Amino acid sequence: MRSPVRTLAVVCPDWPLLAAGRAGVPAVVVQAGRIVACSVAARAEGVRVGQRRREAEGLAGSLEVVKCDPALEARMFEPVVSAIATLTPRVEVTTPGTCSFPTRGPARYFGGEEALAGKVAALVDEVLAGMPGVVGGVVGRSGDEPRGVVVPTRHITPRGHDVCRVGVADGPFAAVLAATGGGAAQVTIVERGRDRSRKFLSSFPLGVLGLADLSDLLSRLGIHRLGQLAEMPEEAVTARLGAEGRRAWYLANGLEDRALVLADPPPDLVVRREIEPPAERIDAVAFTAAASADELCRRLGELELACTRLRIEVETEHGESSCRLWRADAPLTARMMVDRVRWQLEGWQAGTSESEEPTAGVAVLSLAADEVVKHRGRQLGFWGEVSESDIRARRGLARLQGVLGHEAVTTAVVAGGRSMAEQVHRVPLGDAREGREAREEGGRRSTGARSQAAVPPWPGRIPPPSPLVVFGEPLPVRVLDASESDVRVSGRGLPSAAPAQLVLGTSGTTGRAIVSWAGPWPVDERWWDPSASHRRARFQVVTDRGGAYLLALEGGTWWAEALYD
Amino acid sequence: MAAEWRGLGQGHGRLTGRVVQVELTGRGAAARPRRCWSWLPAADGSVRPVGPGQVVEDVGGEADESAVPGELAGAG
Repeated sequence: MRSPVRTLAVVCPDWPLLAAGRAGVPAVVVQAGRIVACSVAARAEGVRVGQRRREAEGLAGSLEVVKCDPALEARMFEPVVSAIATLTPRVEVTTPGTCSFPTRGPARYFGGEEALAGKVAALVDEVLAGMPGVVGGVVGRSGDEPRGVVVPTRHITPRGHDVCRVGVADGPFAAVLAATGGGAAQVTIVERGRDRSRKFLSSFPLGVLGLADLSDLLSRLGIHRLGQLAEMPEEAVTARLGAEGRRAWYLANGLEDRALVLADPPPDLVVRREIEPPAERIDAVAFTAAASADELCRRLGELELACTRLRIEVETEHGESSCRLWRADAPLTARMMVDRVRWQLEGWQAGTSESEEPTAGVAVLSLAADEVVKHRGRQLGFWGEVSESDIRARRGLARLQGVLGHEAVTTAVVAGGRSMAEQVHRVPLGDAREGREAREEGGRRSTGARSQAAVPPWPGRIPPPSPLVVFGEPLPVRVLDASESDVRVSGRGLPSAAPAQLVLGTSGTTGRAIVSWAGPWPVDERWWDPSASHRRARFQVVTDRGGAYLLALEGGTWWAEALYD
Repeated sequence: MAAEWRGLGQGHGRLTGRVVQVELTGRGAAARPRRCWSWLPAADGSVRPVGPGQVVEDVGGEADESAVPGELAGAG
């Protein structure tokens, strides 16, 4: 632990929409069927982050739906980062849309934190004013002189929200919160000192910690705000909630929980690779980056360290270079590192930054663990959590998918439907698992009570118990009555005679005697859609050998849909 | 061993449950086979003996060994 570094954070709210040029209209960004960002206009109509896409479309009539594109977001954010980099060399990008830097040096140089914050806000607004969807008007700006804690420099777009917000506080966590939740002003400065910081943080909900499981647990215990968490004794929190709880407690108290920070990581925490021949395409660089990232993670693992800030340096054949710091709250995995390499390159090659765009292929790629923390490991649960073998299995499936194609590897999802075969959907691995499964993932806690209420009613569905075998292709059968003629069902749903014999296959007359039966249960499905409509009558029969079958009669042909034994 | 679906009549009803006969044998001194009827599944999806006070029938040494393929037969 150490006292947090005074940090300035720049946050562009709804960045994904801004990047897509849709900030001014009711629009949402969707990933895997859920809303991950929404514009101000969409929010005014009740759309919220985390809703399902359908739900949002129901709320707002003319809603534009944009697909989530992290590469585009990163690329569009690059000019903002370059602009800030003219003030300080130590800009860290957390995610596209959020970046921060320590204020100590720049604040002195530019005459105080207020002046610095104002300057940053003006600079970023200027850059963003050129973006589509943003009309950069400076409205209601009350002088250049900052006064008080809250600096009333307010740049307002015609749609009435700030394009960028700036917060200054102790530590990146508090600074980002100051920027996003500090009130109406564009610039919010939380004064130095642990008590001030704690007071500022106390009113925020636990959700801002980004630890879903922990905040869920705490809210069950009646703790809803950071202030309540901060009031608890540290020992008790650590004993009950472990390392994660301890980290949350530190953050709530305005402290920074970085157990071990090496000012200069040992030299072997840098992986530098020359790419020969120089790579023109990002894919090729990413390929090298993957190997470098694996190597870096392995070395970090040997030292029991985890990387929280990564420095990526790229150099071209002509000596142009791009260097960025990437910060993450959770320790960076190899895959996250590769993503960041991609983002940085895409931003650079787009040529939007003022540093000249590259004119040759990438010759050198260097990944450095710029800031490391003691890796506390992860406690794996006994049940239902992602284990090492789950990850291995998933990796194996992903590799298969790479060979066979996206559609070839599927997982089964239980969904609604009348027939047994309809109740199982096969979804390609990695796609949104819609239906009941998705709903359960949303409220994971309800796995114990697999509530039937969540499943919409399907009148006419086959009642439980479920059959043991559901035939993928229904099996053709014949059902004969006592006089060995086929049993029919009339238009009014009456059988021509009591079924007496079940013959598997379409030929042959010797079958199994039917000892009991029930039906017909007529269903007329999707009569409005000629290609998908079905008119069937279902029967359940039990034969003298003890087997129970679910049969269906459609268009004069009998099929066995499922077997109960 | 024996298994029977319940709930269907002649043109009415629906499958609700199945009764199976379970036979248990063991090794050595516990080799004496025992049988009982059990719901598998019962109407509510559970597995339980048929009737609350059902006595597990001790079939003694008369058990036909060839009819019992495993240690717990009849679960199929």
